Amino acid sequence: MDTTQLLKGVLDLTVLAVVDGEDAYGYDIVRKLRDSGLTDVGDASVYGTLRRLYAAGSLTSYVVPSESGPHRKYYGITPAGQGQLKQQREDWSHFSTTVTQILQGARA
Amino acid sequence: MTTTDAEANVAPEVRLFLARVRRELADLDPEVLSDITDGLEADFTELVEERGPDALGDPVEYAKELRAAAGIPAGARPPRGLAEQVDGFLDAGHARFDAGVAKLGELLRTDLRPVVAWLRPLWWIVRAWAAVWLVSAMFGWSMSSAPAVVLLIVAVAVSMLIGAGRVWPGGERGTLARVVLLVLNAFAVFVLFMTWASGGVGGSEYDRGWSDGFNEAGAGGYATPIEEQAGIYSDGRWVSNIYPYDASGKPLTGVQLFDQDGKPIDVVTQPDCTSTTAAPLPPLAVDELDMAEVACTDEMTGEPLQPRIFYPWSNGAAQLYNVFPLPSRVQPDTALDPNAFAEGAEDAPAIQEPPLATVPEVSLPGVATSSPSASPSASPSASAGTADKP
Repeated sequence: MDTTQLLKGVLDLTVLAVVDGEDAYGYDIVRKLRDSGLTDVGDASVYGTLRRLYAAGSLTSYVVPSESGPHRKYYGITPAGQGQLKQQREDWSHFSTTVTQILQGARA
Repeated sequence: MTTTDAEANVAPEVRLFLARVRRELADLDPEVLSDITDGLEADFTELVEERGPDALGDPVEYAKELRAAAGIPAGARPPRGLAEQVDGFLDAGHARFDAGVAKLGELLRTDLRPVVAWLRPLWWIVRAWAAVWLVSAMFGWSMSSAPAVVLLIVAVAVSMLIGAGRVWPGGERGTLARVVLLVLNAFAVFVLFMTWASGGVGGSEYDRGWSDGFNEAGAGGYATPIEEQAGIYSDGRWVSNIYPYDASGKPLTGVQLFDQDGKPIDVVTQPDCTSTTAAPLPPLAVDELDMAEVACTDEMTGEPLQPRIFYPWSNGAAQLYNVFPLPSRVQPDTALDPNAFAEGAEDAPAIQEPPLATVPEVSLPGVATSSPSASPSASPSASAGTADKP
């Protein structure tokens, strides 16, 4: 199945979860998501999500100058972002459990 | 290390890709745009190192995805080419102009749109004039010369057709046509400014030189009999007097001329140095010369000449300069002598001999010509021209 639609719903949650561990720059986040198994995630979708979360106050950003090339823009999570992450984590847990149960019931 | 140095390390394909993405997002607030695209150079550089340049993909698609994920409404302003941008710019300028007119109309409590609509054809004529002025200036023509007049008629016609949208670039909504029209109009404004700056609106160089001379002549504190400048030109030459002939070809005296509005036709511009130059006059005695205003000088020798001064006819109440031929005399100064016609005056102004003793008889089918010797209503058949009446 096309996972793009599914990804849309969980992109906020997964991005917040990645940044929650340690601050990261955009491509770093993309790579981590892909390495974790979300291979279909689009770069632009991640950057757009970062921008939206930043505008909503869930993320902070800061620029780190580089010696060898262009500067990097890092994102970190804010307390508001942590609150959002906690809430969404619970929502997702509940939602996925429900969906799993439905699917198991259908098969049974 | 400055940002510029840092950007120098960005691969060209990354820079190009980002430039395209930024252009797709050009409608965004600059702050938002920098927010959303800052730092992408570094990330894309890493991406290209890891996955190769092809991983960048399509910038348009990328921008679309970025927009969607960031929750920015897509297509607030769809991607546009140069022509569309120019069109948009022109539309915006037009809208601003309309708004300005509306605002001014509010201030003046009148709707100015009909006024603007009415002024447009006027502008079409003015810009045609500007074009002809430019051509005439290049060829050294006078604006009253035949080629300039013919050109003006053609130019006004073409300008009107363009204005009415019948001829390219008028009427076309194509971007090129609009730009060409704008440039032409702007150039016309520039030319008009140049004519104004060079004082060329007053007429040809000949006219200007002449009126300068006239002003200088009148600036000595002497009374200039005719306050307003008058004059008629025929075939580019100044008309100083008119000699009418009747249909039978005989010279007439005391013919009153009026134009289509019933305005008296006054050809006199004092003093008449032209005819003076044409017929050299006996010089004044030295003591008289010192007293006299030098109104005219010989063009060749610079010798002072006496001007020819035209005297008016009279209807008992007013002095009339529209009765022809006008009497004149050569006198030392330019002021009219009120006693010039007094009895016993030696050199009373006189009507000069007509240039032609008689001219060929003329007729127009079906038109009874009048002659001063016969009243047309009383006995039309007595008129000289009626012989040709069918």
